[in-house]
Amino acid sequence: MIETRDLGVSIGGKRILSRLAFTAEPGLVTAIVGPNGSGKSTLIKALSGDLPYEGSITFNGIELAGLKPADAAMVRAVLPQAVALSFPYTVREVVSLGILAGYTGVDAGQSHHLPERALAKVDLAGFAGRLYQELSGGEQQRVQLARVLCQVWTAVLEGRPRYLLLDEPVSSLDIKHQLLVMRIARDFARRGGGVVAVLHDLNLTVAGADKVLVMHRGQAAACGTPREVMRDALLSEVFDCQLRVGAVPAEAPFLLPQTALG
Amino acid sequence: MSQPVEMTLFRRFADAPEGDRSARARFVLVLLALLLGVITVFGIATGASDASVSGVIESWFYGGTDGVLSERDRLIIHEIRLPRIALGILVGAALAVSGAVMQGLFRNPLADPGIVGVAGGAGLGAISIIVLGSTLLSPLVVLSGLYALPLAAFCGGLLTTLILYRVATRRGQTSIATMLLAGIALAAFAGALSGVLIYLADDRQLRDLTFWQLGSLGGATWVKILAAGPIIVAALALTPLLSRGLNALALGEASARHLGVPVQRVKVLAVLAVAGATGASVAFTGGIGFIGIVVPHLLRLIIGPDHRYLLPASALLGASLLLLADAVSRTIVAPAELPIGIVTAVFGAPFFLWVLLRRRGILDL
Repeated sequence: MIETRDLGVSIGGKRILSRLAFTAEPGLVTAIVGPNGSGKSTLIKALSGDLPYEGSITFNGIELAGLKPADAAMVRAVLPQAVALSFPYTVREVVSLGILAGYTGVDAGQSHHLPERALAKVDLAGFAGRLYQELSGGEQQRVQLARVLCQVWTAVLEGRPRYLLLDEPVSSLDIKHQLLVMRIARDFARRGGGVVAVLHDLNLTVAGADKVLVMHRGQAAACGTPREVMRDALLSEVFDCQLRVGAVPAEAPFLLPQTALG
Repeated sequence: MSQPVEMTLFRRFADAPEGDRSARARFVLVLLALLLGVITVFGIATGASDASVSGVIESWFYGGTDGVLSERDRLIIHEIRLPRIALGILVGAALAVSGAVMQGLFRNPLADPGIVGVAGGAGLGAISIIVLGSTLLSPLVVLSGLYALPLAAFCGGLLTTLILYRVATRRGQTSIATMLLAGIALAAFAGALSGVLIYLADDRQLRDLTFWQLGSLGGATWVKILAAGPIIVAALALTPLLSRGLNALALGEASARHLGVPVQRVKVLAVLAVAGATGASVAFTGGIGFIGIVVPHLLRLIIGPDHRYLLPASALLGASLLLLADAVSRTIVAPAELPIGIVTAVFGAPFFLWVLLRRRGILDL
């Protein structure tokens, strides 16, 4: 389990997160939603170990600040928003970076096929020989997803709780691949991994997440199942615009903006 | 990647998994080692004296007891050509690997100790010893003897690299534009201080300095190799430890850390290795530019940027190219000698421009 208690983060003297209590359990896809500047990415960065923090962040009961990079890499993999490479690595070489020997317990024989399997999973079978720099933004994002899957997938299959931290994993993707990525996240969770993902699309969140943390001004405005947080009043206040939750069919809530565009 | 020449050359690696260039890289490493061997033998055999290749090889294998080589040729080979070639191999490998490591560290194919002021800082250290070694800095020279020159160059290079990294890095992100601009400023500053020292130098020192600044493998002796060799070899021996880290750093510092790489340690070791290799090279051969840009770039085109192969391949090709440049510098105006720095710049500078043309918008990275 990932657990934060009294989590506070300041950047350049400005308080971004304060007194945040939050848990993400293995077996669940936990979505973080909220307006721009509400602290979603800062929370993911803090969980990734990129920022100094007050309070506590624990992975499976171990304090993050005490973990060496190599130990932290065993427990969680992080998908950044976008990665530009300055050298002509092939797709396979990028994905293989996820398998740094000794970090995942994958032996050489297994690791040989892992990149292909991961690429097939993200719908990039046959891309292994292409140069990463020549791919589109959406393709690059999926290559990076394949890389982080390689880092923790085997451990999860062996029954050890591992986590994926995804910072806007669908931001450059078309709708088919948005759904694919959510399916991969759910599959990862069903096999015993934990997923924490920053998402912007509330309807995709409802469809894909088991649990939603709604962030507002650096704090948790609400946390619960999608059904629990999809409330007109809460979302309208947090996002500062008129929103209405409908349901089609009756059990699947969806969101309809009420602000005129014209 | 689909040039016909490559296709034939690497057909036997067709069964390697798609996108996996490691088999090809290992093959290229073997070729480069052979190339270096051939160039070394020819380097020993060519020069103002006419000791032949076969004569040299025979003298090695049979000890030369029956006079295959004359005593004069033996002296020339053992006291002039061999140390010169050994120095060329050491320095060529050092410059090329320094370039490759620095490019990996800064995530930019144009970072090079010569361009971002590290060589300038090392040069300042070396000039200080040459000019002030008998006066102000004499305690240092007495204390470290033979190693005073490479150590001073090492410290100069280290200091410049540290300042450069400090200035160009904010919150773990190294700004390439800032780095190149800071490099210009540092190079200019080191150049100005060097100018002050040159102003203070006497006539004999002045002549030494001028030729030293143009770069040359001439005047190589076993004593110099004893001084530069251990530092360069130690620095090069450090770099295999960095290759996985440098590969991960291509994704950015944060992602490298997320992959479990101790980024801070990789950076410190990389800076030490570059400063050591560049400093020791600059101390004895002066300003030999562009090897550090040209060699890694050519190799990335052939074997890709995986540092596990790029670093040793850079060492081999860097050594070969510098020996070739030295052969050109010795023969093109024979019996006089063109400083080797001129040769590498004449070929290297246009190559550098070509790289720039191929990669527009490099400052945006």
